[in-house]
Amino acid sequence: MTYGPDHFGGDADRQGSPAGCELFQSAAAELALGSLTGADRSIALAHLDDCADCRSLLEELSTTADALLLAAPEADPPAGFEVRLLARLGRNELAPAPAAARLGSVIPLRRRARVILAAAAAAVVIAGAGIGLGIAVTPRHATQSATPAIRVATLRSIATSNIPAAPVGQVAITAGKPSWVVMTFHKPGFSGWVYCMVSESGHSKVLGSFWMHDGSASWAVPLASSGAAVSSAQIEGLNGAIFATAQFAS
Amino acid sequence: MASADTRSDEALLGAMAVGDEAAGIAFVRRYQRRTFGLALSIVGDTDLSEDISQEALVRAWRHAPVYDSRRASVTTWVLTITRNLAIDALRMRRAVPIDPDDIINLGIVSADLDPSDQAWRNDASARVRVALASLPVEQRRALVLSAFYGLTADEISRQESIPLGTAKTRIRAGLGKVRSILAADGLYDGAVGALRPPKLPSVPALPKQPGDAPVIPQPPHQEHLS
Repeated sequence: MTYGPDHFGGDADRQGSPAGCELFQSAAAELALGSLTGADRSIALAHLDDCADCRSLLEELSTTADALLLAAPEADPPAGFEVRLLARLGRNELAPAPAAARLGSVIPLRRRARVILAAAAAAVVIAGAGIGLGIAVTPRHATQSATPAIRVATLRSIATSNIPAAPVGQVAITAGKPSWVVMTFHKPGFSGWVYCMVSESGHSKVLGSFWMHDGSASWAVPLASSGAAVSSAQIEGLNGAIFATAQFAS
Repeated sequence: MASADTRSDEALLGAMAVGDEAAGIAFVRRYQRRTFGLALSIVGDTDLSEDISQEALVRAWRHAPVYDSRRASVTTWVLTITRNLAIDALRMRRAVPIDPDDIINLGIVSADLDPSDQAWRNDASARVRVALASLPVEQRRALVLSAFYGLTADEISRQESIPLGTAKTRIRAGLGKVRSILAADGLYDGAVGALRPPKLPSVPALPKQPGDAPVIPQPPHQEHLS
């Protein structure tokens, strides 16, 4: 059963006729719950134009629908929730830095990571200058065996039969304790949750999930390890679709 | 300045809108258990629920200047943002099966509330749970699938293997009964305050020319800040 124009009695019943009201009332619950879509929703709303009784009904049902969310039980969030939230808002000065960041917690790039980002950006510039992708940038006085200060790799989209892979972002891994993964990722027009994974010593590991808005995101997350053994990174959608991969030079 | 913890939700949002970080922190502390609990009820995953809850609170903080108290209570506003984010996450992770009993078993529908106990009568959440608990199981399932998981009647009919008309009837009857129960409890009279009816947006005039499509506003509970 669907509600078409005839269901609401057409134009004549938009003036609040009994038949139009009766038909509106049959769809009002779905409208209040936000599950009435397309033409049905449009027509139902049009009926409200001249029908105060049905507007009042919808107000009450909408209030009821909203009230249902109050029934969800409250629950204590994981330890460190508030600290991570404040970090996400860039208000780190109000909270101590997490001593042991929960694996999987993602801290969108803010003040604390700006130094790291600046270093990563410098490495990206070098990579873009033709030295190559997946370049390892070493300190001026580093010995050959020293761990590179920053390793950078280009995130590339997944090639399809019609579209070749293309650069869609950068991943940088800093040496030190903690080591940080700093990333920028672009997917035009996309908003939603994505996962970042890395392959370290042959094992795949989820670094965390984060929210992308309007096709662009930058973020940083600390690694429990030095990061030296990370060989690749991957961005996935929540449904498992692979959006981009990056390979670090060995 | 009054202690942040004693200010009303609206006062906290107003202070946040002008950069009062202490108010923002008080707001987060007031709502983190509710937003996390709602997200966990819907997606059932702790890490994802934390991300959803944090994103909802971040949005509330950043959109505090545009919060309109005439449209919905702060509680409704924040929980609706949380629900919409959770539904978005669920839809992107379609491999996870949806079972409204997951929510029901998490304690939404609690039968152990004593109606003679005055304490729960002052608790809007408890009263809504009692109202839900009073519904026949099939109506409650349909209503929970729609209100918490955002499923349409068509999707519910497929999930529950029932005719579309039956799904619509269960949704309508379920919501109607909850409305009647809450109205009888006086929950719309402002006694509790959490359910202050929002004002609907003005409805656009019908198109004057054939083909002129009206711009349809979203009802308050569908607001999805981004």
